Amino acid sequence: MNCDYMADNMTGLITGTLATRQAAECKRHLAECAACVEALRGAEALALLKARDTGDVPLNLFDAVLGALDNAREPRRTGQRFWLGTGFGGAIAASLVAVALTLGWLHFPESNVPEIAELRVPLGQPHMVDLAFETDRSLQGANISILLVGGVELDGYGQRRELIWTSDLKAGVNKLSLPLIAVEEGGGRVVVRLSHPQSEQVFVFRLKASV
Amino acid sequence: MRNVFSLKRRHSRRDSFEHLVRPHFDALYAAARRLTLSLHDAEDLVQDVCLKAFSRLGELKEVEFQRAWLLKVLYHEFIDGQRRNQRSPLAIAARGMESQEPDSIAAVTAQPDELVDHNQRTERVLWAMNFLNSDQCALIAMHDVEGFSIAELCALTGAPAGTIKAQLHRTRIKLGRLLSNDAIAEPKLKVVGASNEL
Repeated sequence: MNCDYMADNMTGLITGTLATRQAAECKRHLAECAACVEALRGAEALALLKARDTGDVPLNLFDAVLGALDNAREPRRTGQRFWLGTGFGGAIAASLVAVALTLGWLHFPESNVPEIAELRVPLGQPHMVDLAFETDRSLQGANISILLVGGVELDGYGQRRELIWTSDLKAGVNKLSLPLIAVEEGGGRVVVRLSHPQSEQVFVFRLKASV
Repeated sequence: MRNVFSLKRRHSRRDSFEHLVRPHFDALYAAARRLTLSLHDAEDLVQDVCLKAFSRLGELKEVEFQRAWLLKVLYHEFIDGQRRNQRSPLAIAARGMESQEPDSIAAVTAQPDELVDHNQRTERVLWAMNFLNSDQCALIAMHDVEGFSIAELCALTGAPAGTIKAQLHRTRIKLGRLLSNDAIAEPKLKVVGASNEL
């Protein structure tokens, strides 16, 4: 029994299709070979990928790809790679809210924060809002929170009103894409807070339904 | 007239592409779904692969194993994309969020706790695969995930069976070591809290 034998039979060991005697030999080898233990861990990880449910191919995907070939300069592109929601493809419109961050941010309650923009979007339809944060240096471990007030929702997150996560911001422009829905005519406010051990920045924009 | 000829030539290329790729499109999509955490990323990956294949149509026509060739392009594109995403911290944060999307797990019948665990483990594996080079990633994924035999990989790469086996074993060891390393076990960025108390 050696590592070659183990490598040849690793898939069978993982799937449980080895004969009892072969499986026992492999296990004896694993007890004394650290490299094969690592290899087995790697193979098991790949077996996990293999077992993933892949679902059916979307009906029009190949046609959409062919369409992209016809117009290769404008490929069908659903991602910005920052997806908070699912299911609406690349067809929704986008708006941009740009915010320049500087060191020595101000700190003040969000109720007093002036709205920096008002966006009008179709009622009840996801609309991609791109937030562009510009910072003059990289910020490690910044906390980002999105707070939804009133008749606005984040597509794919139902009634959830707040999301918080940590991220590193690179120096320059960082883009965050939010699929937002105005669920009432009056819409609502989106409060974005970035905090860092030394500073905090809050800004607010309003999302209204277009009539 | 030149535009008409140009259009015809383009349609001819497109027809060739469709003829060559459509039989393998399901396999490409399935591979992309295994490697990504959202439907959109899978669709984008497949599209990127097709655009690349279209630009190398002459090469695609000549290869003996077109499915393997396309999958190899896909795995290379996956690794390249992962590296591009690594340079975008916000995109990494998004992966943590996407892992919680109900839509991405709707088709699975496991219990919620199991789903979270399964998604986290998948995310960990994809993260560790970043550390493989694209050739290693393509080779091991085509064997261990896509099920290509050693003989098929020999025919595809032109390398002898012993070399392929040795590469597979070394890459499994590398992947296993990466996964046992706590320093990379956790995603760098993730959702750290959420509430609906308003």
